[in-house]
Amino acid sequence: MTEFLKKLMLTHGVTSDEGRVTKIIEDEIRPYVDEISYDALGNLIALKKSKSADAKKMMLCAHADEIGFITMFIQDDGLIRIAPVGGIDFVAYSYCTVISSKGVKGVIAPEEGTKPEELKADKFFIDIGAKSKKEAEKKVALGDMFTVIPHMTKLSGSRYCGRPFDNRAGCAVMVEIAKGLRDCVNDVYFVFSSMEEVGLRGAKAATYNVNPDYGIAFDVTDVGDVPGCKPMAVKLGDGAAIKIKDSSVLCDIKLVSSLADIAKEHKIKHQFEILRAGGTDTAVMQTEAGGARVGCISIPTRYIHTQNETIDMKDMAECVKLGTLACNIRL
Amino acid sequence: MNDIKGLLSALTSPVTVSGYESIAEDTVNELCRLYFDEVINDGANNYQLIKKAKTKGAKKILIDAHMDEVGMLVSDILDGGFLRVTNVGGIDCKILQPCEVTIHAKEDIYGVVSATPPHLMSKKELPNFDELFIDTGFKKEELEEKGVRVGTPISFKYHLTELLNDRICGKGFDDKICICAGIEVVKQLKDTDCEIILQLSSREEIGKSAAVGAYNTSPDLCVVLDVTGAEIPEEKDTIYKSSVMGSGAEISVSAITDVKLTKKLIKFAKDNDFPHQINVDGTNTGTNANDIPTIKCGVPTVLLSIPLLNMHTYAEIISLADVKSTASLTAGFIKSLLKDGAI
Amino acid sequence: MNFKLLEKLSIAFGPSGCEDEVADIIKNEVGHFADEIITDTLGNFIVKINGKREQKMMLSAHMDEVGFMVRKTDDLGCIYFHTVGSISEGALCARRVTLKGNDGIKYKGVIDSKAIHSQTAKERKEYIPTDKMHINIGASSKDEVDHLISLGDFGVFDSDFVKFGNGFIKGKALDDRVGCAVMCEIIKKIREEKITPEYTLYFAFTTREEVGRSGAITATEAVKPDFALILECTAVADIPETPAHKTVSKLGDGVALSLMDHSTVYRREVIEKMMALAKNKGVKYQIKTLVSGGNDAGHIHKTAGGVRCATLSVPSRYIHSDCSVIHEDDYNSMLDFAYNASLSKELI
Repeated sequence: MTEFLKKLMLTHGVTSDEGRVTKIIEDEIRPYVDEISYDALGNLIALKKSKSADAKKMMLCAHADEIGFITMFIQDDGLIRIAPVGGIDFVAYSYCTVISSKGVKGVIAPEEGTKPEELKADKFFIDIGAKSKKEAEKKVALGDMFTVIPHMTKLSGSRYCGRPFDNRAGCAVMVEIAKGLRDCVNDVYFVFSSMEEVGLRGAKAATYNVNPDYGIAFDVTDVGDVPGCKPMAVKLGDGAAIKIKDSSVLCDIKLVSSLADIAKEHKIKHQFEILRAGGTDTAVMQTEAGGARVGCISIPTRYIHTQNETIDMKDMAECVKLGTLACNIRL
Repeated sequence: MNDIKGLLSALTSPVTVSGYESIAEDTVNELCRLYFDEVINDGANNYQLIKKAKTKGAKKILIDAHMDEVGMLVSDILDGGFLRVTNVGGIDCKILQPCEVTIHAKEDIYGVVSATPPHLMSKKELPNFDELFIDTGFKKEELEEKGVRVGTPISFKYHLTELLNDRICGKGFDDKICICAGIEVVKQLKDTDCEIILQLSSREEIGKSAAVGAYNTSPDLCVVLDVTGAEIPEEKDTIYKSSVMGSGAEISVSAITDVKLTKKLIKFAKDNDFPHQINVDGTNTGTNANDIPTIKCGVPTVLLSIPLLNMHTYAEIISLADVKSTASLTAGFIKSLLKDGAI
Repeated sequence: MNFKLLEKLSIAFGPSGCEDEVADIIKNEVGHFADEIITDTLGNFIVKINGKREQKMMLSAHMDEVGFMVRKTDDLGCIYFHTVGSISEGALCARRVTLKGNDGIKYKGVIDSKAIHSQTAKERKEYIPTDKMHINIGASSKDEVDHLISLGDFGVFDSDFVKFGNGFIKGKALDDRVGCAVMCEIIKKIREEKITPEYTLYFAFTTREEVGRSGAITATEAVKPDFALILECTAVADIPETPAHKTVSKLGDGVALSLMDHSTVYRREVIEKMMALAKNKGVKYQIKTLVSGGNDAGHIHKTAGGVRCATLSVPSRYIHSDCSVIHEDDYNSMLDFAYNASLSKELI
């Protein structure tokens, strides 16, 4: 899983421009599913059919997009003004190296003398080294997406830092589930959704198109084990996090209980998650198109939305185990 | 469960923190047995109690009152038997230090929300939820044995108290008092030919599950019943107009709900001498009436609210007279619409 | 410990200045054991038990509790109030109360205030001042409420007595009904075991401690004791994230012996005698490790020419609220300590 995850990590795919990422997933997953399609918003929907006569629809969902910057204006001096796409913490991104979807590299910097509390999008620009607007325009077009240069670096033991684990980690878990899934009582829809970072938009359309009975999202979650953080029970390395609640959703208690029972029965290392701030595709699966019973399996991640998000591959493995068994849930 | 008080007691004793509405499933089934033909529990955990029409093609009326109530969830278990919690829905920290709660694990566990004595507080600021602990008197291991884990729901311990003038004090009246009103409406429409869906909706305090029910049932009319803050002297001098307890249902006028239908409702109330009050909500009703009107090709929706004091506390107060008059107004209005063929 | 008695005392109606109901319970419970009963205009109730010697030891506990007094009524039927004794603003919103109205009829009520929905952003971050809260008994007009309640009428919290967890107790007015209950139990025990104490004992159930102008002053004047032992309930903060030196005492670790509080610096010789007594008798206790609060000792030690005092307190979480919490072990430890003190020969 690590190698495939790395491949996903290094692929550019800011919100609305996820095609490169979904293509890699499509190629990887094709041998293991029965149908593959894309919808109008760029969601990749792969179906593994059940042999069961009364199959219900289980939708697994991980978003394929990542946060980034969109080119809005090119100044006469060749510097590029941008707008954030998704929740950007500009403090974390000051003076990072960035790369566009076409491979153009640059530095994102705030205007000199900007006070920390003023670090907002309108103070930032990207410097690609161009001396003039004309030179810049040869390399960058309005609308081009930038991200902080992706990487995946091994730390001690089974831990890695890098970006964007949010949410290529979730995508990798789902691909791994697809590879290992034997015959299942439910039709399983693997949805790699678009535009999550700007408000769960892709998944809303995908849910309407799939119309599932059950939904499980795979995404990263915050942890409560670094100095100064808000109190939170989730710890990095303590296994798959079964979501109870985040600011967008309160998961279905029946589905949560099922996940907990499965984890207990199969001795899957797990923990329960209440996330104070942050939403996931889980929310729209619950309320779109007639409603579904939903849950979410989260990958504990430190420093989310920075250039050094940190995960533990052991947690990933537990998520795969739990997710695979969860495909058979019937409530 | 025959009178409003009995029904209210039966509805408020099971604790239904948002998302945990199924805890009251027995009560819902009993309601179905008494007044309806069928009950559906949809994916978003709404319950739709359905009373079928006598004739095919009769109009479908959706009455929405939410089943969930504000509460807390365990977010961590600490050494020494204290629990860390997170809130579900808007809870005023001013009512918490201290107060009695019930932790709903395998068995119900009694607890008290902790408070730092005033003379030991360094600042006179309200705590936030991260600074609150629930004192259970048990050890961590004992709590785990009793099934307490992250996500275990917690409710305010409550006492149904009767005050003067048929006013009742308790918790969870937001919005279970409106379920009581809804049942009254159903009783009064016993002989009217229409399909009535009383939706006990889920997660109103935190989201918009109610719209799922409207999506699945495609009603011809939706009446949302919710509660509204009753007037206290401290609000008299502000622009915020609140309704007076005991003076009848508050009819919401807004750009979200059906403007023409609301006008009709006000006229109907005036013409037929139903006590009522009007509240101008502008562009946000703060209720399920925000989400239901835009479902599918549109649902004509009106919102009526019952005045309530101390909302989202364990000492909510309502007037039974308001409940009865709200129910009669709603039932009368539905009858008149059906008679006039207006929906 | 006698839970029944403590429960009866806890739910009794007895705000400062209106302690009769509590005094009646105590009178019924132990009045017949007294060699003499002393009462005074402030409502103190004192039980005398003769000893072998003339020297006088006074045990003292206050009967009153924090509560409310009706201040003003309003057109909507709201009842504005003063607090009687100190109650934190955070412990008032939405709490249940009992008001004793005209002809002594009790009314259930609730403290109303602005609900969270109608508070401004600033108001949401602050406590609501007491003058913006009011008691609601369901009345719908000024006429109606004025017919039932008079200005100056008293009220208290309305709260059940609950046992929970491993030996914890929750209730209202545990400050200082625990002291009253312990004194009742000591009187009974002395009589049942037919013991003649060394010193002549005066059990003073006092009034108005919570409002400062204490009944303990006149009780001390009447008794003129050589030694006084004050039985109290003290606020502690043994909850998570409170620095250890600020927790005051810990629930379950025994009754707390005071070294110093805001009203008294206890005589060192008395403290040493008390510690020696505890060691001798194997009594479990702890030291109150923070200078906080005050109690009747502050008055007693300066009255009638000066009195040597010691204070024993049952630690209580969330004191002065409708949900005070104590531990039964601490109650039993106070009973043990105070009983041994009342029979000792060395304290005077």
